[in-house]
Amino acid sequence: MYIFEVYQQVMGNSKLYKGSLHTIILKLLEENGKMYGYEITQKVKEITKGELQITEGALYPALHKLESEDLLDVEVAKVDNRMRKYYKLTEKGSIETVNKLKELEQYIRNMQVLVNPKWSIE
Amino acid sequence: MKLTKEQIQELYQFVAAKGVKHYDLQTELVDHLANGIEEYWKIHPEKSFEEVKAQEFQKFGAAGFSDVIKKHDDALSKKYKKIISGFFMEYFKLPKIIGTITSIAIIFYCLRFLAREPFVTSIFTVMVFFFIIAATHVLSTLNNKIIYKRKVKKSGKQWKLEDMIFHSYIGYEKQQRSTKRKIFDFIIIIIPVTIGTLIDDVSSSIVPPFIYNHYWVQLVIATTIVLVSILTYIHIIVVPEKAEELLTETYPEYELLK
Repeated sequence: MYIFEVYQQVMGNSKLYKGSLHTIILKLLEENGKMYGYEITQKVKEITKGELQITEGALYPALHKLESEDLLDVEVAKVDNRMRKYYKLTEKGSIETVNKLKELEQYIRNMQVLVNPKWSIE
Repeated sequence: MKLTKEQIQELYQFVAAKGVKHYDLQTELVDHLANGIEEYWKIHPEKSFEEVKAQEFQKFGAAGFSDVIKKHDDALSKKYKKIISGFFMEYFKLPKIIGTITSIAIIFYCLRFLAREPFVTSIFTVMVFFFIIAATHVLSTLNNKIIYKRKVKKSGKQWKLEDMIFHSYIGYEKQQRSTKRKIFDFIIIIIPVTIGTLIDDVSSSIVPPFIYNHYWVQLVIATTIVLVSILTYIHIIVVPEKAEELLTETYPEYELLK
């Protein structure tokens, strides 16, 4: 989860830049297979040691949007007397994850150069 | 500590009271709140259910569920439009395209034939066509609504996609029927009438109704009639008939509840 750590360094606990929430969700699903909403919020908190928090009010809209774009597929299972909705990547979603990660990495690289320029003249 | 069945039911009621009308979204939010409560109880088992519930709800922010509801609606509207356009495109592929073209041709020739009649007769016939489509639409939509109401009453559950399917009005759910859409519907019905009046005014003075007699105008009218009919047919007959299938496809929990 290197990308999260770098992201955190660059962005701190400030607002996520537009669209990065989608990338985070896709990346998590790529690594963990299927996940449910609450699990995603907890996982992000755990990885970033509480620095980066996904708000509930933003997570579900993002999940539903990704689902409507056919990037995610859903599964439902009965867990303790309630139903749980799991999300997983579709084939299209896997391809999109690679693209989105590239975009985010590029963004972080640019930010790092801007924030912390280490030019040397030899 | 795990939540009891009764507490889960209470969460359903809580979520519904906060404006989440549809069972699909309710289920997801209930599970989310339940997880939050159970997690919190691991550290503070002394706190009451009510207290922790309110606290978990607050995490959704000042707007509560409203943004989640809106975005969920948007996502499913998109899905619904995709379903409709999927069916619609079939009418432009073999074998259905043969029927589409034949229907346009038949109506086109009818219009050409009518054009030889006095102008008022021909425009009247076109209006009757549109009236039949509109009337079928209204009646079937009403019928669909009645069927749906009964079903909801029986099951006590409303699914967003099902709501859209049975309240459909050329692609839009009742609540979402915007002013723009109303104007659009109005224009569709009014086009032949307007053309009629305009040309009628001209023809009653000096010029014959030449525009209406042009074959391309007739072709456009024939195509419009056929396309509107196909769309209407898909919205009010094809998709409602396939509702079960579409719901099972969209909601894995739909099957689970049966």
